[in-house]
Amino acid sequence: MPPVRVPMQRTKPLHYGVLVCLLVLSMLWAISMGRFGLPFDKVLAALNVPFFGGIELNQMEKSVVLTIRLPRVLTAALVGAMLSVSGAVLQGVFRNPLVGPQILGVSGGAAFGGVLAILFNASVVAMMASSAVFGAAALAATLAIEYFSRTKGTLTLVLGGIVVGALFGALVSVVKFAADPDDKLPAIVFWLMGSFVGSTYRYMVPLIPVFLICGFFLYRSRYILNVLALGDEDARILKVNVRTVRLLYLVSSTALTASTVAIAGIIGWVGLMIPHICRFAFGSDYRHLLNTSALFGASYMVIVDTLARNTAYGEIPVGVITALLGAPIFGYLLCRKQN
Amino acid sequence: MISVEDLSLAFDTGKAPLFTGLGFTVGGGEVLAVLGPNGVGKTTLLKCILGLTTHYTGTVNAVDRIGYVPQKIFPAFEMPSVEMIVMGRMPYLGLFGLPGADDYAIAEQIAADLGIADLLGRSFNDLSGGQKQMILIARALCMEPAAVIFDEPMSALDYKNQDRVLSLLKTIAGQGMAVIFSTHDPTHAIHVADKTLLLKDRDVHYFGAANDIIVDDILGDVYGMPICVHDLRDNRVVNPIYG
Repeated sequence: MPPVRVPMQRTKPLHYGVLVCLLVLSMLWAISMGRFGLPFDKVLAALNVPFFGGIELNQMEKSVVLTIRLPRVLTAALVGAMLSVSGAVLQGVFRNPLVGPQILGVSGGAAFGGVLAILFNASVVAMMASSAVFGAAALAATLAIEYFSRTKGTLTLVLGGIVVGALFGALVSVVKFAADPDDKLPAIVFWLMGSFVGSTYRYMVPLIPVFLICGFFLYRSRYILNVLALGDEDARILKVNVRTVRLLYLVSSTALTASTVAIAGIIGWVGLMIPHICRFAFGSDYRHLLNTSALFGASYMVIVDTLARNTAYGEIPVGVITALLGAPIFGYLLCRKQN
Repeated sequence: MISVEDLSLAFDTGKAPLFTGLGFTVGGGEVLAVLGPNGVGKTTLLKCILGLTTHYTGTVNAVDRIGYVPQKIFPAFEMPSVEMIVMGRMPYLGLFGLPGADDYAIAEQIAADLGIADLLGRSFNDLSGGQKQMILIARALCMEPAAVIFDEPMSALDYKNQDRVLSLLKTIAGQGMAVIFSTHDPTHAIHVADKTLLLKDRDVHYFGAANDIIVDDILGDVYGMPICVHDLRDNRVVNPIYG
């Protein structure tokens, strides 16, 4: 019998190698870029990379690399990976490649929590907590709509998410209306457009446990997402406890999305587009899709953030760039897929 | 292996039930054919046995591991047929498991036994209706089930493939599994079924040996038209009298 194991994944070790190289190079490039430009060798020396120890650095160069750019780049990479993984998971749960992290109203809820925190001058930790609480509240409201609905299932969840997202969108508008137009309103508007301005290790560290805990669960249970692609009924026949795993996936993706919103505001299109590109390039097998989405999403966000802070005199919100890039790329992918 | 007692099903309380008072048993090595007009509840009955619906009263005792071959399936994402088959190993993998070499070997062996090894590398979505049916049968067998339920397995098949699947039902039952299948063609029941359940409406249903149930009078009563059962070349065949 000829070899038949043609896996649904086209992902090979070479692809992982390329993605890891892309991530490392994009991070080095991002650290080197800026008004205070630094060559790669100095960046590597500042990062204590072996063989570059002989290069002399002044305090300013070390400070730019280690205190200003490295935390921002790491934060951007984490946020990109988290949004991409969240989007990939939701696309699997809802059996629809056009779904993104905004679908359950979680981004709207987390955004409301964030703007409330800005309105009341809350600390970073309080802002994260507020975003997480309202993000979770949005998820709970969406799940409640599905629970009390006569027609249960993914369509009801999606429609519930639209309703909850619209409600929190209205609440955000109320906060904007109430905010001081000279002080708070610009801060809220800028934050809502998504940005990594002022990212420090203090901003980045709270993301790490969320990423590790949710990432561990999602990575270990990723094969179930392949089975969910068959539909709820088929998955149940194959002895998958659909309601439980779907809830676990929704909670995990909500935690990933809400924590990124708390740190960087709403950055659209990443969670929708990156898994789509990875599915297009490497196949739709979730045994690899989560990994490739995390790696590519991290690289993409680092590159986009670098463009955001280098293309104009003032910094462009990163959410604006992801939308400007995301919409045409996604349109192209859709047209190509149709063809 | 599978027993149903006094089964009644209504999707909404207060609404008329789809069927009431159903009862039958299927043992290992037996084949049960489920027949009846459109909308009488054949697929719903199968879903009761599979535990996919809980809107019923009565008792359903069934083995834990039942393979199921649905009429159609629409995966959200593209996947090769071998991956579709190997998903039948899911009950053995758990929440954090991945199919390993042993699971793929079982899937490949079952595909070879069914004569569909050449389909394994092809995308499931690109296969014909009959080929998909065979892949789904292989997936059901990959579960190493004690019983297999087929929902209208012949609906998308030509005569030759219908004959192939009917023979397969017999072979599967011959391996000790209980087999239940729904169909619109009483000839299928005559050909392979040890028992036949013929659903007419909410309250009326017939259960017994296929040769006792598939007769002119009962078929005429259930379908509301004259239907002739006669012998042709050592086979009993069913002919509806149209018009």
